[in-house]
Amino acid sequence: MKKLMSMLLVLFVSASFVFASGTQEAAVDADAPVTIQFWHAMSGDRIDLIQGIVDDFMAENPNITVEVQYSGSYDDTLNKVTSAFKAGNAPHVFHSYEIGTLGLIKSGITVALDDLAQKYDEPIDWDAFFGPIESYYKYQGLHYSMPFNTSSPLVYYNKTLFKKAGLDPENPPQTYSAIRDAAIALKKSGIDTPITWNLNAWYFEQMHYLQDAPYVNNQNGRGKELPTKILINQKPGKIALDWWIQMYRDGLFMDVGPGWSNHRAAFGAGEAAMIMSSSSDVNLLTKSLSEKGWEMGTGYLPRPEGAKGGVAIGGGSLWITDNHTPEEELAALKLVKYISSDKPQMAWHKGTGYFPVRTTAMDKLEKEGWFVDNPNYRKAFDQLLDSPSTLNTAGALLGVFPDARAIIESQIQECYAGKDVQKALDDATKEINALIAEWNEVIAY
Amino acid sequence: MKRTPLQSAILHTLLVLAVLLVCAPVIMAFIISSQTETEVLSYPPKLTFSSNWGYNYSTAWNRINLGRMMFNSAFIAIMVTIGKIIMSLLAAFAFTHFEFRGKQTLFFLIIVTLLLPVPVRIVALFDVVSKFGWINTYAGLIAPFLASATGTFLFIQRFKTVPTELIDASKMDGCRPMQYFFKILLPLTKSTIGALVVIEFIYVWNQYLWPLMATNSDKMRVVQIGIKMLMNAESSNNWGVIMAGVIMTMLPPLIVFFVLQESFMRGFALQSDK
Amino acid sequence: MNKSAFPNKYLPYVLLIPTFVILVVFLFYPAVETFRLSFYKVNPFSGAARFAGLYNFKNLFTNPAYLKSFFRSAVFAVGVVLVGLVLSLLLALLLNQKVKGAQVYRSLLIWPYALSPAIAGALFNFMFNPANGLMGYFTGIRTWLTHGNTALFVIILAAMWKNLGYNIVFYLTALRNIPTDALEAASIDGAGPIKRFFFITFTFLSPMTFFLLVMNTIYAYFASFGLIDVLTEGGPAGATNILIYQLYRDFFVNSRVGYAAAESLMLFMLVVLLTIVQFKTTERKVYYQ
Repeated sequence: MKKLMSMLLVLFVSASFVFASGTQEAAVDADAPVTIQFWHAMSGDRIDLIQGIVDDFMAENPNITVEVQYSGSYDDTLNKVTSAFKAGNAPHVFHSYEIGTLGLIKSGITVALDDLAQKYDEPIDWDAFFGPIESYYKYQGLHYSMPFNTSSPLVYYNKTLFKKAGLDPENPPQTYSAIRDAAIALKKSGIDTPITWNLNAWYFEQMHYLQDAPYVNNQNGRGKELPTKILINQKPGKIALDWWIQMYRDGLFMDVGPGWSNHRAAFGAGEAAMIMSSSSDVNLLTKSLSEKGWEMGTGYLPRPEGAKGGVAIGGGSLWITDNHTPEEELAALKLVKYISSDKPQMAWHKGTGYFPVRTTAMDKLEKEGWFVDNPNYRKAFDQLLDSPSTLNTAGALLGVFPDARAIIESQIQECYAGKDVQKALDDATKEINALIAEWNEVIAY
Repeated sequence: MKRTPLQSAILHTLLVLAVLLVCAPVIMAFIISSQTETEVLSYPPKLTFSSNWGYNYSTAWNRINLGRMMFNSAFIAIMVTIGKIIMSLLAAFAFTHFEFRGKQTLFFLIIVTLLLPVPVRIVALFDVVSKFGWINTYAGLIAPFLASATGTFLFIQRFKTVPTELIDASKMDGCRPMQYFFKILLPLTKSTIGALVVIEFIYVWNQYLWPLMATNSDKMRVVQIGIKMLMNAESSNNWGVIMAGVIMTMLPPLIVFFVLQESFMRGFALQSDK
Repeated sequence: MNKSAFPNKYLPYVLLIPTFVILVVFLFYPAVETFRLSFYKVNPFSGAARFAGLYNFKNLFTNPAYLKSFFRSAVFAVGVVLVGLVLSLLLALLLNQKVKGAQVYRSLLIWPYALSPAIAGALFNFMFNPANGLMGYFTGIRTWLTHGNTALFVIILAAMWKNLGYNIVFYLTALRNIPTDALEAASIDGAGPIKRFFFITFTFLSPMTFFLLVMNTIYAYFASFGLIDVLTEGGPAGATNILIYQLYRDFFVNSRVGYAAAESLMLFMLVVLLTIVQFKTTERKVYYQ
């Protein structure tokens, strides 16, 4: 009997060793040759930039072959990936806009980055990332995708025209009333409609975060429960939209439509002296102003007096799809980690104006003297660093973001045409809440 | 009816005016395709030729691999055109020279296809093609378009104008239907085929939505997607380059059109062109 | 039994097999499948679907955005079809006159038909662009594409321009087939050119007019997707979202599969209705034999 017991004990202990080591790390051949697909949504010159980064990655990882493709716009890419996944041949890594985050988390077609990092013992140093960037893509404590192209909104103003209007060119207005006053002064100095930005709901979202107000409920969409209501018709939304529309009605704000080129062109032509736009426009706008002999300045996004929030980031991130072999998963993980590392991110920043995702990269840029030559970028970085970290400033997560943005933009357009601001917000809220309810239902099927 | 010189002059003036108005957008595109980026952005707009041809055209060509795209578009257009003509000929022959059960229904079904353009069925179509594994392949771009209501109609109209005596005569000679088809009917349809070549080549070359969804890689993309890609370049639009791309992209169907013009006109003369 | 038909029983079916295989696999099945989905709520990622009866249709008809899109599409169609046909007829009449170089004029007026909607969109986008557009300079109005009504006008103009050639070709053909004796008889009777036009020419043209009405309506409702995607992307703020563009957005951007499928079904039924109405009012006149 004793012999049997000791034999069983030995058996039990050795068995537990086998099982224990099996759950600690996946058995994967990290050096076997492997091929993965990477689909992204960056067009134009950026196609070559990305290929360059991937080529460098492949040089450092000779056993990994990455097939890169520009698969169209963010929407096209997402649709193609979804269909490809159903057909069993989704790309290993794909690029999505930030507003698709909640959908992709709940979609069942992606794997969380942190889970992979743990599975393959390839930890990611999230502490080195900029706070707002890291917190945007974190949900319920887990990071699901790798931030890739990040921007935030920024105020651009024409220092030369400011001087002409008697405004201090080194101290851009920071509050709603200061902006209004500056616009009035600029108008007096001869600029017809001195301030503008394109009709994009992104700015309206930021106006909430700058007041540290949630955009949707359930912890700004980041809680354990899915968001069920959009909160744009509450006080913060009204304060923001009232300010925006009032400037339009007082002839201070130019309607340039929704696209991204018109407000830049208006700024470059001196028809507007203050604009809001993406932080990635720094070089472009500095150049257009200097062509006319003007000097450009950048400033933080304005907020109502006393508001204590910050900006959230926008842009896109890289996701890894499910249903691949361990070798492929590991290769995909290594790829996205590489793309977020300092050297490629610095090249990406210099080539596109997007932020590098880590503060370590920013430090290296500073050491290089980059900000001495490009001082206007510094403001954008500072704004990011000065933004407090709350669930609100992390940015909202919502499944029906694209639809919601379109609805809000169309209501704002109606406000330009004279509609009452509160009614517009109420109508948008009603419509969007119905969409949210439907989305919450189908995503659980 | 004699016309006075004044009436002639008025007529010519009106026609020239019409031509200028209609051709204006493309003339403008041609001019812009020669300008540099700053010239394009100048305000008031600059409407004279410049000399930036080399840069604009080569950038448009290289930036989106236009050569490959044109090859793809041409290959698909040719394959679809050939396929459609063959299938439409056979279908039209069936409808005009035979009586069979379900003829009305089948004909009606073909008419219905005119009302089922790509956008109405695209999601399910994408899934079907995906299941065949044909996404991002030539098969996926060709197969869905091989059958045509337009082609069938045109050939039906053409066949109907062939005198029935020919059929009766060949039946008396013991001619089998397919012999009749190849030896007698086919040679009479040359101009209709010509018209169909123009229509189908243009239609396939100009497709946008389906190739947008069904292709992913540079190797398979078609020219219309290229235009959108040129316009989507994140930095401010360089219209000089875009217009160069536009001009190059519009040339092949225009060439097909001008070369086969007469066929096109005659093929559409729904009366015969004996 | 048509006496000049061949007697074979099975050959016609064999001849039709290739066509119908393609039609069933790539047209009918996807269309039916799409229409079926309109009665479901669908998870956009997994495709899992639950039956929802008329839920999507209820949403459609109570959605002010859909009703606006409906109205917009009607305006677009009327603009493209009616104005387009009138202009094409006028140009065809001009071209039909015996004038030196008529062939050349004809080619130069018809060729835009060979352009793609995407290219037409690119051309008009450039011309009406607020930043550096030519039309801004010539007309003093720079906001063509940033205001809803003017943007709608621009897409109507672009779509109509592109289709002129198609209509002119058909009208020219029809004009040439008008029996000259009818016209001569009328002028002998003392009818002036305008009377001759309305009583004789127009009547003989009516079959062609109705045919073109149908084809242009189909074109306006279905074929203009590429043009809008390149010109305005449905903007500004949805002002040029005609039915087919809204459908695309709901499928591919908003991922509301069931709802978009319902839009497909509605669009299909609408155009079928328009086509039937047009055919019914001209049934006697459409036959050529």
